Amino acid sequence: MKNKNHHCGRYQPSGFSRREMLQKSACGFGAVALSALMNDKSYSGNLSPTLNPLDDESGRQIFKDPLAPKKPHFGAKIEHVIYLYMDGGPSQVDTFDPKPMLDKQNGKPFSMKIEPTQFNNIGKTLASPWKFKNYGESGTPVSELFPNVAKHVDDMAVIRSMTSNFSEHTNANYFLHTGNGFQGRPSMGAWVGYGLGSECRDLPGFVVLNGGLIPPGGLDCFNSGFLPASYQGSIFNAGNNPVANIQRTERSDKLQKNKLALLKKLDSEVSEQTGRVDQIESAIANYELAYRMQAVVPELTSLAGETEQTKEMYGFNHKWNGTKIFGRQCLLARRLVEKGVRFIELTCPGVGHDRWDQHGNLKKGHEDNSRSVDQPIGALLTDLKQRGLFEKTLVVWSGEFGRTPFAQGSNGRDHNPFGFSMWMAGGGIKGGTVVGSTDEFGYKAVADRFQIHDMHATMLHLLGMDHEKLTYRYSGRDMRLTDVHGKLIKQILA
Amino acid sequence: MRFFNLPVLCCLALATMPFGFSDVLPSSKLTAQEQKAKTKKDDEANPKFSDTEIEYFETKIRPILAKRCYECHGPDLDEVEGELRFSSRGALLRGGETGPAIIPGDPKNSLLIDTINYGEVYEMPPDSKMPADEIALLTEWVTKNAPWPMVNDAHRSEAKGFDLEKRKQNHWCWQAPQKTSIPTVKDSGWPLDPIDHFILQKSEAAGLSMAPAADRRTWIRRVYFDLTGLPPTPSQVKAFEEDRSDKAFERVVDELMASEHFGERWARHWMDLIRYAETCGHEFEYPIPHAYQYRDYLIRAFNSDVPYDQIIKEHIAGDLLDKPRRNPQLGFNESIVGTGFWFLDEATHAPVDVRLDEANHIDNRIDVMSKTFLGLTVACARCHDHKFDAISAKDYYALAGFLQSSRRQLAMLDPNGKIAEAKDKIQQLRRAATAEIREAMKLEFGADKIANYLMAASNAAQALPAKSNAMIEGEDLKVIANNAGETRVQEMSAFGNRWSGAKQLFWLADKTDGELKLELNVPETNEYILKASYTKAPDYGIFQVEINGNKVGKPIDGFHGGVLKQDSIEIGRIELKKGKSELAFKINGTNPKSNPKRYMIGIDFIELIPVKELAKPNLAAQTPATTEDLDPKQLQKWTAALQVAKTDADHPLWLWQQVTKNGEGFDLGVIKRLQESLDRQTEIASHKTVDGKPQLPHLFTDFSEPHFGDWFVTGEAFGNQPTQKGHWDSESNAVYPAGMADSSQYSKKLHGVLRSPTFELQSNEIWYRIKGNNVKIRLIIDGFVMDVYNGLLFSGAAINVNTKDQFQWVRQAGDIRRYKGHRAHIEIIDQGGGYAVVDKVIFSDSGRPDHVSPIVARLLPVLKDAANIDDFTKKYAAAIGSDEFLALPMVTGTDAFQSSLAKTSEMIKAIEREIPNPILAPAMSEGSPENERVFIRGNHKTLGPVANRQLLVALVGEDKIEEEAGSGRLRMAEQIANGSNPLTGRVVVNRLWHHIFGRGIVASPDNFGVLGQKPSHPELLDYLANEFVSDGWSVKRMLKRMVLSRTYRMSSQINPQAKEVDPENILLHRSSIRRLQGEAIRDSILAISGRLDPKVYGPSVALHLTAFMQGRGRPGRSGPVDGDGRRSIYTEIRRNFLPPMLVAFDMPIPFNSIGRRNLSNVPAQALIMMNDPFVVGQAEVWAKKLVSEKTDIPTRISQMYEQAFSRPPSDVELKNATTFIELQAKELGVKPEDIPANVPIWKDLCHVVFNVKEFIYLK
Repeated sequence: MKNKNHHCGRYQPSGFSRREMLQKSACGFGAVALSALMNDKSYSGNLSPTLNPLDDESGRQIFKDPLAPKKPHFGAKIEHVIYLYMDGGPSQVDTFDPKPMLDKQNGKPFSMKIEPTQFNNIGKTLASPWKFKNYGESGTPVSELFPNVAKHVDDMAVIRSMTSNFSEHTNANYFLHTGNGFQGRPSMGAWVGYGLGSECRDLPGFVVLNGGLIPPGGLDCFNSGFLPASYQGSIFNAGNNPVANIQRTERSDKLQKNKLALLKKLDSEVSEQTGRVDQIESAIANYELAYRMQAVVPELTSLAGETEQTKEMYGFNHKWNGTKIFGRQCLLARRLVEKGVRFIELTCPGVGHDRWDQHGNLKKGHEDNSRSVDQPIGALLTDLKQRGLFEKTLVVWSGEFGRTPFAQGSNGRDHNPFGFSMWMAGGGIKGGTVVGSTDEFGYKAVADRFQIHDMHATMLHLLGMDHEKLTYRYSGRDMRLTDVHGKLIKQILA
Repeated sequence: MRFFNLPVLCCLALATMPFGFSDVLPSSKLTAQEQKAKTKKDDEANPKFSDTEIEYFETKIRPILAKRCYECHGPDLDEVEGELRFSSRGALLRGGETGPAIIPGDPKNSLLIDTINYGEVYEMPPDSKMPADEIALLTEWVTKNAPWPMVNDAHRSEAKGFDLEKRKQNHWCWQAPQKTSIPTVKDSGWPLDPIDHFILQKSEAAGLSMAPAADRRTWIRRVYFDLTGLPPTPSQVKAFEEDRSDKAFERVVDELMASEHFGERWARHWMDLIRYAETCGHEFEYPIPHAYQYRDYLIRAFNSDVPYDQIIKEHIAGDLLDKPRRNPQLGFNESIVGTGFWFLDEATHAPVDVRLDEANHIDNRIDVMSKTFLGLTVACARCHDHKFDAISAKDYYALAGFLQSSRRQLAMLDPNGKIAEAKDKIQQLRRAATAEIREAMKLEFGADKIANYLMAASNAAQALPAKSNAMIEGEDLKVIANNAGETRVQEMSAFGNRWSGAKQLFWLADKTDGELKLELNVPETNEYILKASYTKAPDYGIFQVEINGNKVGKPIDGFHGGVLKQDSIEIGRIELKKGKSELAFKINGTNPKSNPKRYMIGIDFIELIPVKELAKPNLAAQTPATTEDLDPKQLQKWTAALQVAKTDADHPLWLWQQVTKNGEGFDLGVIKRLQESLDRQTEIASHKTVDGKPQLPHLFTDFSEPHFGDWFVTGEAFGNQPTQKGHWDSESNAVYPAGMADSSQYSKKLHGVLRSPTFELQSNEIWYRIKGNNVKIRLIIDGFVMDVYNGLLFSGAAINVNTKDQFQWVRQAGDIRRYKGHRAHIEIIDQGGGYAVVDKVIFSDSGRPDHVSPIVARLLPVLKDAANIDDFTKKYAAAIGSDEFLALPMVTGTDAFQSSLAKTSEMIKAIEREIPNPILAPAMSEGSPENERVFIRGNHKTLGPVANRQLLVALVGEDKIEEEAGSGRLRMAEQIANGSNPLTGRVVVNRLWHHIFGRGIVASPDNFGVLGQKPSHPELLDYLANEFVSDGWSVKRMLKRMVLSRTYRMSSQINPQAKEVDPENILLHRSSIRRLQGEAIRDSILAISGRLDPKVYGPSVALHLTAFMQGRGRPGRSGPVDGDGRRSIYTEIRRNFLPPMLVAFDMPIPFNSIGRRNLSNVPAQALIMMNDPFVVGQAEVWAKKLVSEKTDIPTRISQMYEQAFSRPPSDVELKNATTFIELQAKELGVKPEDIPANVPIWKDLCHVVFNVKEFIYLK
């Protein structure tokens, strides 16, 4: 595959006025909270709410408002991504890649050449403890771990030939999120924000719904790296206080409003003195967004307006706590899509032991993890379809790598970056597809192999962006999410 | 791999892994270059094939190649991937970057065939493996000599040109700074400093008028933040306002530069460059111990204005300076601390490919070093020649060699030289005492006397109840009953060699009410102490010991996280009758931590010691000497020595004991067996290293030379050389053998590390003949040091040594077998309190090596013909000579002599008590000099030519580091820290300019290359660089000129005319409005609230943790929300848990050099200022202080403005604030008269003041 792109491919500001932008970004309730402040001239006069003085290393100014919506390169199939991140690495041969050979060879020495593994504790060939069944018209096989997800196979594309470059969690996490195995690069959600801006003025463009487990590598999996901080993922924790510093500390709204009103006056005094400098104006406007978030976020996370039936569907009443937590996160994800948030990532809830990282006790561990996520994900897909959001949303399910078809010790599986499964569903995806294959043991991808870069390229493509043109100059290079790699996974595109 | 033709994008991810992580390039394979040369002649001999063969190729083979390979390697492509083109047989023989694609007739060694089988180096085609029948066909084709129609395309060379010289000529940064004259300006009254001429001249040329001077309050606020990162106090502002002298500005600057806060401010700028952090990040966030020492070093360096060339040298090679700087307070080597920066990078704990892991570390270090000091992106050349700059891949690997030749150490800094001083004193005392002993010995012993003593002592020894009589080995215990699980005798050598008899009685008890009964033979009726030595392990149970149904002692918990041998412990006392008793072990449960839950027990030995035995006087002392002229006291010592000699193979009497069976018999067979052993030992010592690979077993070292050779010593413990003559150890009152690396030769209190030269690991095991306690031996494989935190994949790489003061063979094994063929070195680490005496190190695949001591080796030929025990004893005594007896405690001779030694011993102890612990700091140290090979396409599995260590060719030409110069780092440091280096001076003055004026003359301060920014004022940049160097590289003096310039004094008012001509103020016709850094914002809040603790230096303050800071490696405890009031530079920097407020205000993620921070504007900033407990809390602290001062409202508001903004409020501001106060009072129900004393109201106003934009923006 060739790349003839010799220019930097940077976008120009879209030229929206702020008023147009506010109209376009009808997020709903922002306007109410804003009204008190908007009456004042100093907040409505200069319409550049988050003007950013930063220029990139080339010295050229990037768009004035980093979050202003920008035109994609070409017709976008989708507007939103929900990334269901299965931290720890679910086993492909126990989920979406059935391997009868494992049953035949169960308990026997593994007959393929074994690459170095993370724990170097190689056991025997290990059959899957779960049975597979064919679902839907497509007959896509799914294991017993995912009965609810399985109902949607005709709308999903399963890729069985994903590969990663790393066997270690942290490197693999960074690689999955940023296209590079080390700390300090922008996360995929940040790239999306950089490329497309935000449709929503009350919420960040990239939200991480933390189910409880921040993956190894920490919050830097969701950071903006060398991109401006405007694009970094905002972590929403479960519970009443989902975003850092989102709750006012004043006893009453009035007390805070008094303060903000004084602040506005004092700021405008400074503004007069300095002669309306863009930087200061935009810092002032920034308070406006923060104040709106104070109102918007709690309303969003309160789940106001959701019926009991919906909550039931998502698993709010499930006995298993993990299902309740993940169900809530999935429902929140749908609400965020409705508010116009571009990129939503979900991390897994804790299930009392490890994430999908079953070095031992595969059966219990994978069952606990799938119990947490299967019903909520099924509900999310159903809900998106019912509300007409499915076609403009891409739902991605993946771990950072897969697991070995041979045992680690006696009843676990080690990390396996050589071949694993993921699936995508939603707008632009050809449903009922299965792409690529691993060898007869499910160890290594052998046909139609794809890299993480390819997944990124495809995701950007669906969002209307050419991954080779989405660049940012840093460290003497025009950096990309896909580095110098990436090709579209055409087989899954509708 | 696919083909990319991207001038700007580079192959970052090639640094990661291609498929199939095999460990190393098979050493049997030639490098690409070597293969190329080899096959060149095959190329010339291109045979002509028959029509049938050609038809076979065209019909069977070419279609496969066309379908599978042409997309990236096609004959008609403009450029092909990896320089490999399927255009002719010759082209395949010439091959690509990684060598020939085929070897006709030899598919096994043909890279193409390996590749299509998804082999070691490549997996092609990348998307899907070819069908088996196609692979078979291609294999067959190669076997059949690879027929192909005759095409001569040898002229078509794939290698692309890289013209370093041309690139150098074409880009400004490689040219030496010009000597520029100071430009003339129209407004000649304006400039205060030549700097101003350069600025004014450009603005005048652009028709811009310069902004008026800022008012004094604006200037003083600006200069305070720029130089110290803190706001001026109202009184400082007032003093300056009132000082109308010529020197007023200079006086302020001098004061600020004299403040210790100056160093805090400027150190933080440098910490951005060297990606400062105190943890390694990644999965578990392991610490980088003592990292803060580097931070303090930086603060001190900036405060004392250490010349910048010196700072560079200290960073790159501070461990190698002839005359290091000394710490002003503590006198330790300050320079070495600078090298800590190399090691503040991220690190993972269990890399599956450790060589790749090392390459990644080196990459980051090269990147940081070259950006920081040279403003170059050298790391772009990791996978290929730089796409734009005059930097080749070879340049990159030439730098990598410096790092491969260097190592990480924890420097042991000697406070005020007290450690070395104590060592010297002890050395003198010990030497004197040793000489005294030698002298005494000569007088005391002749051969006859020795023989007499030996015989007498052996008789006496017979009378002693053998110590071992009390000891019953577990394996000898007889089981009489067992109701739970089997028992067996278990060999324990796999768990180390600490087990007596190397075995234990192992009971696999599997239930809680298990009981094991053993037979116990009681020698006589007595009261006994029952002692025992157990094994502890994760699945061992808690048990109660009983004898004849009576409990002895308390229950014993057999749990331990690893497998551990418990020293013999007293269980209890019990009266026993002579004859058989019943010893029972009853399971009593299991430790809650045990996993899996089992109840096993392991018994190494038990001891049954009669209580009265303890009270008995020493039998030996009572035994009369058999020969009258023998001194009874001496004889006692001989007797004791014989006891010791039984188990110490280096003891001069050991051989006598062996042959005479402790005086009871006579067996010359021992001599024969020892001779065989000695022969094997000699043979091992003669094993050579062939082609870098040792024949096994292989003697790596035996420390017999009077120097450490190519080993490296740090710290004081090991001294300057191995022990030469035996010397006296005051602690054991014994004399140690010669030819040992001995960390206790002065004092066990000393710290020290002994590092081996780098070698290629070739054996499964490394054996150390060592005596020691509380020391660590580490095998550092490919520079990997994280195994101390997590042994995964590196078990056995670090072992703890405790040999109970006896020489033992200690084995290093475990995972190290995985790393055969990797580079490694050994570290023997004595961190004080322990010691190590290392005799020799042997690489072996065949188990425990032989050991015959030098004394025995010398005695064997003399003794082999002895006739009987008397003859043997006489010969023995004659041969052994007095000198060997230095090792015996009995040599201490007369009472007077004894007391002289005792006195020396006391003196040594007194000195030892005063020895301080060293101060530890991460640092670099020398390793074995090595050159790296170029990694083709950045892949460590495809090696290219050797790149000799040197700095960039574009800077120093073809250079050569002599091997004897060690790593050569110092040379590189001197070449960088040099006025003739075109980059160094420019890069640093540009950094200073960037921080003072908000934008560098080169706006990309870390990249002066082609893709960086061109200088806005090139002449000024050159002028400043030249001035800086000629003024002795003084950072303070350069900064002083900048902040005293007219340019710096301008107002930031925007001039409407300039908005068109110079909207971004690149020409500096005014000052730029700048937002404060996160640290300065936080520090100002503390300063103004009155909470600031101005304490300088010291360990970091623990990070305050919020609910949003989750994940592995989260610290167990949160630090204080106000960080103890310390400045932000003292907040702990944990890679995975960066301080949220500082990060929100653009403190960079510490992964690489960041010379210019982002300046973002995000809601998180507003949310922090509005709602964060730190900000709100400090508003309250400030309010309380204000309220306590009992001022009236207008005075108080004025004071707040003076404090926060260095100016009084305007009337409107005063009015607005007053109105607000009243509004809040109303809302809170506070009566007007109570307002001045009401904290919540004032807190709200304080909080608003923090949020005013003027608080975080510098005008």
